[in-house]
Amino acid sequence: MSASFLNYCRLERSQLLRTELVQMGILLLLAGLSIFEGVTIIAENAKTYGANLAGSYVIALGSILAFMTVLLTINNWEKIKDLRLQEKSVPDQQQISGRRKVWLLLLLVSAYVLLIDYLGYTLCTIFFFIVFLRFSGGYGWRKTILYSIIFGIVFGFIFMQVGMALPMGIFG
Amino acid sequence: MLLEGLINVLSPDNLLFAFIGCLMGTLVGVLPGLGPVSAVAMLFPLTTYLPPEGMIISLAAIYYGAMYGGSTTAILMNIPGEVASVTTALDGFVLTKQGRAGPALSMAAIVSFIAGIFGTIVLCIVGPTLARFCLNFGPPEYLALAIFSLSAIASLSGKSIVKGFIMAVIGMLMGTIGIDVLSSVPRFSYGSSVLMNGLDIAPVMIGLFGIAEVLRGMEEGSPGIYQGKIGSLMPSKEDFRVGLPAGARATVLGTVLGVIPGMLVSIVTFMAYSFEKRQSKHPERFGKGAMEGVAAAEAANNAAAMAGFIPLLALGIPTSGTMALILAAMMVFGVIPGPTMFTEHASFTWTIIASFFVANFILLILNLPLVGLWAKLASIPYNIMTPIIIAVCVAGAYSGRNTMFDVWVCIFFGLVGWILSKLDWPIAPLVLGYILGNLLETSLRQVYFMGASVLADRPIFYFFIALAAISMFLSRRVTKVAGDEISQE
Repeated sequence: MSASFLNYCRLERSQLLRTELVQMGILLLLAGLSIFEGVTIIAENAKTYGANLAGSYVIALGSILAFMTVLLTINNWEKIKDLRLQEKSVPDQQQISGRRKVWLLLLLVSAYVLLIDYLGYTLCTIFFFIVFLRFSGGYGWRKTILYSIIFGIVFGFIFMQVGMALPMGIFG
Repeated sequence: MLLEGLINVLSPDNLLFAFIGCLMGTLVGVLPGLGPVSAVAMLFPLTTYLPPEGMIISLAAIYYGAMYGGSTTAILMNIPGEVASVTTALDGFVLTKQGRAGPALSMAAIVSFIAGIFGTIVLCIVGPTLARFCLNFGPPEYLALAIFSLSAIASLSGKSIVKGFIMAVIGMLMGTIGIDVLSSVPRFSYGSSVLMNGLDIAPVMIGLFGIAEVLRGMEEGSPGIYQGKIGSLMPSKEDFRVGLPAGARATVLGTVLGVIPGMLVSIVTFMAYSFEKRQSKHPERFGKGAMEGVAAAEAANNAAAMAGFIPLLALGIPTSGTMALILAAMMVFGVIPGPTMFTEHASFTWTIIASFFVANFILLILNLPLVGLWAKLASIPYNIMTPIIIAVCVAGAYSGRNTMFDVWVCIFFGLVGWILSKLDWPIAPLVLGYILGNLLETSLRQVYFMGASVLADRPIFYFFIALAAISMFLSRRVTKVAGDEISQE
């Protein structure tokens, strides 16, 4: 077996191990939080009728989650040990670029949602469209502004007609 | 009762709701990457402003419309709107490349119509009988039913049963957030008044199925644009000769399998396609433009979707993520599906069932002449669709409780949905765990108070527990068979 292939296997295995450990960590954290929450409910509400059942149910779910997580990790550990069975490939440039676009979009959407409370839905939607169409869509300024104003106003109008109450921001 | 339902649904208001639902559903379903689940998730906040009957009628119409729209993109562009349309694309897209997109679309519409009508007739016959039977159910039976539904869907949702169960448990934990109804004790609220109200189902669904799809589309890039011509819509005599019997067989198979909780529509579609291929005298035609392949896939898809309404309306048990969404939408309006739907709310229920007949007719009439328009809509660039979908999702998430917290929940679950799909975690068990978790907890507590001895003479309880065990045992076999068939195609 060539040295480069062995090295590739080592890199792949360490990436898979990292992914598995992170997943296991998150699931065990959730399980731990649930069990802790259940115990807290029972301890703080000892005199409340039904509180022990409310807490016990959460403890039970947390325990099942912890058990299943350990089971999953044991199952997957066997597969990781024999890397030849894996189909996961090293991400290529296109995949990395795609993920970058996702994170940028999430950042943009977060900014959009943060500003809705201040500027209102319609205005924020217009700004969101402008930024997205111009910088991600690659449209020229004229088309960008035209589409953004049309869509922003149309959505605001449709939702208002349907009866949806949307944030007006400082204009409300 | 059905006649009374038909009279109600033929009122101008209800007809309009059905028409608009079909139109909106097809419109969204035609968009590449968006399927029935995304369509229902994104559009259901808009339906909450309608009266209860109108809401359910339009939701069901959105669902069928989106299924038809999804198969349109599968046939024209090889971009299935959902996993269940992948089989349609296997032969449908080849037919498009052969210049026979029109007959393929027509055959898909015709068999979908037949399957939809057949499924509705079965619902009319089986639904009330099942509901009457379930009126005898008590807490032990509901507990066992919830366990069976969750275990079935957890087992069948993906390659790993353990992952399915983990997602179901996480869904059930999500359902505990807020004030416990029985003891008034807050759970997972951490002193926050917002969290004390719990998580609203709408933003969670919109995030998991709407925003997550957008993120996936953003990562994978723009799909291809259809630039061909549809041509004549009329299938040939030979198309009818091979397509209709295949559609009929797939309709029966789809209806029988679609009733089973956890039996996802995608699995039913693959099984129907494989069955048709195995029993065909010319199996080599499949994958090379076999009209019977398109017919079998589409008929099974619609029949299974229709059959999913049987346990939903009669038992209040959703069989899939989409049914869970429709159940959640009904609960938002205070309509609790279950055995009493056919007794105390009979008029309402039969109106809904009658609307299924009407929606199928509307789809057949609406979609064939407009197929050219749908093809043009499918060509709208993704760079325009992405901000539109996000704007609709944000409005939909906000509209439920008029709080920005729900919008943040929506975005969070959009990110979660995207990550889960990348790491190959199934989402349907999460949704069903969230919906059925409350039923399971309430039933469990009632059984606890009644005492374990109440289980001694409850054969239905043991029947469902046995079904749960069998579903876990068989799930490995079913998903392996479906997986083998998929990889062969």
